[in-house]
Amino acid sequence: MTAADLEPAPRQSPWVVRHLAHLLAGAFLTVAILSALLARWLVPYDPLMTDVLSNLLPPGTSFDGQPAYVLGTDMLGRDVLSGIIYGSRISLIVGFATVVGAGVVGTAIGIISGYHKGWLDEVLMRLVDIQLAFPFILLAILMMYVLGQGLFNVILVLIITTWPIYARVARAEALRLSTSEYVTAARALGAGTPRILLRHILPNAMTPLIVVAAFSVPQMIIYEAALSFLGVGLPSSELSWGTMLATGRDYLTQAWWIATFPGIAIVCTILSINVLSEALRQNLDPNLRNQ
Amino acid sequence: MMNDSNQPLLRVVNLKKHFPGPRGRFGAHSAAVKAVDGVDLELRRGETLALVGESGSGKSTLGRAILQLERPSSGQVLFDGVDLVGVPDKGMRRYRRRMQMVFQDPHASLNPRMSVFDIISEPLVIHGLCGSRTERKRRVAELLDMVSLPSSAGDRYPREFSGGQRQRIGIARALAVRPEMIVADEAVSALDVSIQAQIINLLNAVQKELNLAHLFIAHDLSVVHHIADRVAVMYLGKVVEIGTGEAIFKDPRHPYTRLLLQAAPIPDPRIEAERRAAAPTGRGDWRSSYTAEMAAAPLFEVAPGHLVQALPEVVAQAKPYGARP
Repeated sequence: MTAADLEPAPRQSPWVVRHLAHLLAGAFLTVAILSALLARWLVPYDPLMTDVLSNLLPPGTSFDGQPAYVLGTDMLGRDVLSGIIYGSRISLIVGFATVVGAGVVGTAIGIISGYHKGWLDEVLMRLVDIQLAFPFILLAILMMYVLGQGLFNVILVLIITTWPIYARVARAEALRLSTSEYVTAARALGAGTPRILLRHILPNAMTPLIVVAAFSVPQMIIYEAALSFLGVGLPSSELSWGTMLATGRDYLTQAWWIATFPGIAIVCTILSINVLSEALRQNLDPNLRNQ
Repeated sequence: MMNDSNQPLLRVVNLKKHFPGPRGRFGAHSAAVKAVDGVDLELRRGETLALVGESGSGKSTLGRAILQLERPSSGQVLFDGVDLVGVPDKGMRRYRRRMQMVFQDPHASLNPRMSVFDIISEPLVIHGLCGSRTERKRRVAELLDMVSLPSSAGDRYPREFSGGQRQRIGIARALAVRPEMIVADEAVSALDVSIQAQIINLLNAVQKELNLAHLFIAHDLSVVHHIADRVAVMYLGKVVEIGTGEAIFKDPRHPYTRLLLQAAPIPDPRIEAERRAAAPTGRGDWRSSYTAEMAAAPLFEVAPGHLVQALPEVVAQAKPYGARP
């Protein structure tokens, strides 16, 4: 009789308990995406309508015959809840579009660079070095100043300033994988460069790239906020979580709710994306699956 | 002439592969590493040639240089009369169909993100064989059967298989395009001894069945003993002795070959006893007495088809055979 015989078989906790974090994250993101899509019909007030008489109202204030200001109002009397619902559109678009754009551009350049090696690698990596040597905010401000304010330009500038991160990671992976035996095997079979890059290197380089991308989504939301705060991102008439956070900061001591609720929205989005991307990473990696 | 069966399928002429040494402080390379340093070989259709030697002797580099996975520094690799060294990468594809490789580490040589079906059918797709998916399915099932794996294996991923099974997948992949030559680079050295025999028997069976030219690279002589028609012994980038399996195992002439044989027991008590009795003793460290001059000595025919590096002791011993210089 050994100790193993005495120990009861480990009981697995129910599926719902094991995946509680994933469920919550999924639910939050679903709500966020739905409210972004259905913003027009969900908001109790026009998020841009100013009403100086009802400014800086605390959360929960309500007047007869009007919907309650659930999350209060800002210094211009705009409803914070309506602002958050409308602002989710910009924040989510910026967050995902920049990551997808920069991820595709950076990965393509990095993988070609790492597999091709030689002069092309030198040229591309010096380009990356030059760009990374610039302080991000300086480069972004400069480009926004040249291009002008606007959603499309914000996305474009964030793609241009963040692709080198993906290029670096993708290149390192491609360098590592280009000497792996299964890539040599593919060459011995007669596979051409496009096939090797797409079928052998890219799928095996994805794991770290997905991790980088997942961490970048919240970062892009914050960068958009920073650019808007500095007055070169979105015009202040456009609502995003970033612009709300920026304007509410000045009133933090008198009306904490103006900056706090958009901040909570950002934090919850970041957490949800991180939890889900970790689950995605585990699912994508065949060596971690079913464990 | 192209398909003349007397003509060797592969002829390697004075092949060299030098790697630049590590860079010094001022960017200059130090002495080059001469991984393969002037090798001549021939391989006929349906023949198994074993290439043996210790780690670092250049045998794997030679295998890769023959397949142009590492471009040789100089020399010729004549495959069916065509010198592959001059063929550009793009033009290599049509020759790759005819020569395939089985790799050492079955855990590293299969893409972990491709199903077994995709792995085995990839060469078919690359070379445009078996146009439709149903044809490919049939061919993959045929190949899986040939390497004794169930046809259900196609839907699974490499990680679900043991080392021996993975090596079978690698062999099926190599055979998919019906090659004429296979280079097996230490194909069994990463496997358990009990599995090694199975894989060697499999390689041997398909080699006979398909009349393949087989270059079998190994460091373990007891593995080679069963399957090789001829054996080439490599040391420091050169072939130091080459001959039939019987000549190498029963009548080794080069001191390095003897050293290798001493290191590997032969699973035949009679031969093993003879060999032990004949083994030279108390010779000190042979390696340190192997000079550059000895390394540069040409091959010398001690018996028909049995060539040995012309070291003074080899030449002296060879006199009774009346060998030609």
